[in-house]
Amino acid sequence: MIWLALLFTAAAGWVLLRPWLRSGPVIGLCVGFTAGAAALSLQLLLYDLARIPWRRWTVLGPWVVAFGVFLYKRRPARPRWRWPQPMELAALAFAVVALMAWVPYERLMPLNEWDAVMLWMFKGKAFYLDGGVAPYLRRAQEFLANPAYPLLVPLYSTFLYICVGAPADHAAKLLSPCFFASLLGGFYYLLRRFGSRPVAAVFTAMLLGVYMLSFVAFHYAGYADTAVTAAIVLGAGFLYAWWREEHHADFALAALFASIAAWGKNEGQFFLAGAGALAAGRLLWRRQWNWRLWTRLAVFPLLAVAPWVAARGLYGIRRPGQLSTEIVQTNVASYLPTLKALIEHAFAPSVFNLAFPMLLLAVALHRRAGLDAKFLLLPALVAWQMLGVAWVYITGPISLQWMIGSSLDRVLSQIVPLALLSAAVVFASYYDRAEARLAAPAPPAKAKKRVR
Amino acid sequence: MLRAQAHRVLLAALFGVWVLVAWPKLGEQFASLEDWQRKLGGRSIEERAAMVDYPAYLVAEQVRQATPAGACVLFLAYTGPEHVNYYKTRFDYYLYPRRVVVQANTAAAADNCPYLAVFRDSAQNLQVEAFHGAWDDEQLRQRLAHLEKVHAGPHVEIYRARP
Repeated sequence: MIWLALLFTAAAGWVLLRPWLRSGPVIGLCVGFTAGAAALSLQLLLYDLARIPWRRWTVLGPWVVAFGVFLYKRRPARPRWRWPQPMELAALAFAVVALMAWVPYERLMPLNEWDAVMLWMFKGKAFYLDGGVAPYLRRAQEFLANPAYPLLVPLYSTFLYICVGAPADHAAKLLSPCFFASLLGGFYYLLRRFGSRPVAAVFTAMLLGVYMLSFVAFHYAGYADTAVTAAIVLGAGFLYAWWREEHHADFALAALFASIAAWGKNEGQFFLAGAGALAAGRLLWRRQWNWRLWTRLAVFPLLAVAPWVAARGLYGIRRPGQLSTEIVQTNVASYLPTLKALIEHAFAPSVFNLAFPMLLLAVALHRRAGLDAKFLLLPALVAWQMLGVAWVYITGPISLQWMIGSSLDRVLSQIVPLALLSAAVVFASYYDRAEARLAAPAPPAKAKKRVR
Repeated sequence: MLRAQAHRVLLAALFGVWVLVAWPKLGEQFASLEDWQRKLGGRSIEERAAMVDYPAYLVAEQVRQATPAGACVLFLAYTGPEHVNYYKTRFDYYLYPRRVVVQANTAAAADNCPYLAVFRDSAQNLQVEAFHGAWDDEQLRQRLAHLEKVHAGPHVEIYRARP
């Protein structure tokens, strides 16, 4: 049953993205999973606010109608099969090996990691057992969990429990590997937009080789980090695609996924602020007053943020922790060592492989690879997220050292795909130009004088 | 010819370096997987949870069976100070919607809490973090004398206020 629910999620997301996403079913389902999970979790919250009971038929019903319309309107595309090149096969082989190390491990381990038990999956279980968010939120002060965190993952796990008919947490923690698949599918899709198949395949396999990313997806299954990672890279990637190619569909997808990031975790709200400001800034700079663009830029973030703000207000939820001057002074004093720790972590090859050094290289070489200044959007978003991490750490109500020890690697893992995407875009540009030179017909040889 | 194909060579080289850097951690993960498969393989998910989260899962299961869903349970926990928080989160998770209070103090009280669970952590955990709370066996005996014992099992005894 859990597999059906996960597949349903991916299909729902694909239906949702259909007006904007040009892709085949595999990528459509992968990318669709993140959108579907966000939509279903938001649906549960809106139902709760509207006092509509959570039953299988009330939750699934509207989607079944949407599937009908989708299937009626869909023109099946004829897949174009091309035999993979040797580099693509090598990338696939490495991906299979990496997944063999992680997938059985995730299925073997019961739900046990701290934040999953204390926070994300706990809320999901409580919402399911209570049949709504109110009873848990009214008792929130009893628990150690932060009640103000966004509810994408908790309410999505509630959706899975509704489908299964029991709080089956071992089954539900599959949501993290599914968000990981969504991340990989989206990453591959974006690279195919900007480059050739071998580059897309190799860099996607390289993403699988980033230890901390797999560790978070499979060892910390049940956390919200992989969900927000997928949403951030998709939001940034589509924003860049819009800057580059000016398709309105990319703009819509960028606004949608940036909003999903905000519905996933607090770091995602920071990302939404940055990406939203960049999008609005560009629209203003170019004096684009297209109402559709502005509406999307307003509506998606509003949908992702407003219902939860309303629910928090309704149930009297406040962000926990008292931010004292003393704590901020202590945190500021240890800021430079913290920055050093942050850089050391990011540049540790065993944890993040060479993603961050390659980002620096990409910034230095992007012009030589034939890219213009628009490319800098991607590194700028990486820098913005880093700034966000630093800001959260310095203003956090708890000890900086403790926060770094407990969360820095996870938070950096949200940014690492974006860093690798930046490097991949530069490499793809260089690679495609070289391929084009190879494919171009050789210039005609000069006619030699005939010597008789 | 090789110069014209330099981009392909570079892609292959980059991928090779990436795999080389990733390989040691991947090897560690394979070793970890093998280790856990040896310990947990072939067991049900409940048995695995009981082994990995020992003794929290085992204790929570006994409390869950001995108390109604709407109950409040006060745990008098003989465990280390950091473990008090740990068990609070575990018991909250496993026992929801019951109200759970965990204190490392035999004199602890909680309002409207008819169930009392005397919980003793495993020796292994107490070796990692020693008990630093307030534990008076005589006081506990007197307190329990007024209550009805509803369950006694590994690591936990459960009592209920007499009607």
